[in-house]
Amino acid sequence: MNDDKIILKSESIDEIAEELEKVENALPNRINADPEKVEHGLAKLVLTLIELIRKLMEKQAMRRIESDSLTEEEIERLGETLMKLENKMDELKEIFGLKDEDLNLNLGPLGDLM
Amino acid sequence: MKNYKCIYAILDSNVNGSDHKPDIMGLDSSSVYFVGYRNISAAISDVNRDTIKISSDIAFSYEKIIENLWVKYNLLPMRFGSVVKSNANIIEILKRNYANFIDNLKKVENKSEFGLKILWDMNKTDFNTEKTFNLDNYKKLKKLNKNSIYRNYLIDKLKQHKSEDSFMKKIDDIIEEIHSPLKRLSYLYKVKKIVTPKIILNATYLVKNDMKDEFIQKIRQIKEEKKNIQFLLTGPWPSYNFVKISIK
Repeated sequence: MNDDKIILKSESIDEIAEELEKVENALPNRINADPEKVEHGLAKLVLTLIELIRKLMEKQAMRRIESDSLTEEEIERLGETLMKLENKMDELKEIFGLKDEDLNLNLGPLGDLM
Repeated sequence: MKNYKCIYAILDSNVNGSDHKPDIMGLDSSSVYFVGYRNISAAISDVNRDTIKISSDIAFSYEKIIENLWVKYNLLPMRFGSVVKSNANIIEILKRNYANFIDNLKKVENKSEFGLKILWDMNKTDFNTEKTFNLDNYKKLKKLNKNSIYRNYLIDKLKQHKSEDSFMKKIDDIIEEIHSPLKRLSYLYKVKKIVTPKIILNATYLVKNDMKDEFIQKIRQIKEEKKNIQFLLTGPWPSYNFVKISIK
């Protein structure tokens, strides 16, 4: 961008530029078609989607607890389910060598999926 | 051989057909000229298709050409890489999309686009809800066996959930404080929230030209009031973000 188009900027413009670079460099994540790595790429994509669903379930569960719409037994079962689900996700991430920050999709100008 | 036509923009007046040249250099060192249909025109230049490759330099040049045209004419910028084979193709495009072009030209007439990006560093704010969390608000959860790992897991999750909620609320409040006065000064706007963990707002505003100064002044004023937030305001631009036409 030409400097003459910048009307107003904060002093620490470097930080803004750094962030903008992240957006501009964001290419949609693709499954790596390399035969050796295709399993890893596919696992990353599938686990990202599972993680998204797991987080949505977790949010919904918290809302149900807050709204007092569950019995004590249901709350305990919910805790067990969510905890086991999270542990299972941790196991799968370890198997495929993925970290928490890997489980995301950059949607370009729309930002990250999660 | 320059046997293709690169289209830069659609203008809202038929500027004497292809004989008229606005004294602007296009890509590939060829002059820009117009091809018209009724009261609209396409601003084009002759190019060698092989030279129109995607690179930031060519994209910047393309944008600069549109800017130069915009100084003189009300226009709809064309997407980078809009290349056709002949003037007849261009006239066909103008004919088939005439009504749509006219509607959009009216929409952007005497207006300018501004881009606003807002950065806020969430790490500088404490969202830990440990001190404010009250288990008494969750009576059934509290009643569960204190040694239950699931009870403790849910308590941790609730605290995390509360902390995320206060983070989102803070972002919504900041956006509201900045965006509310600006939307009142703009004709149209588009807002995207949390583009990166730091860019909490990426907005574009279409502003009537006679409101431009007031709009910029308002952002200066907001910036003065919000010292812990970073601002980047760019413009004025032709309307890149408020024209949506699928060319037939």
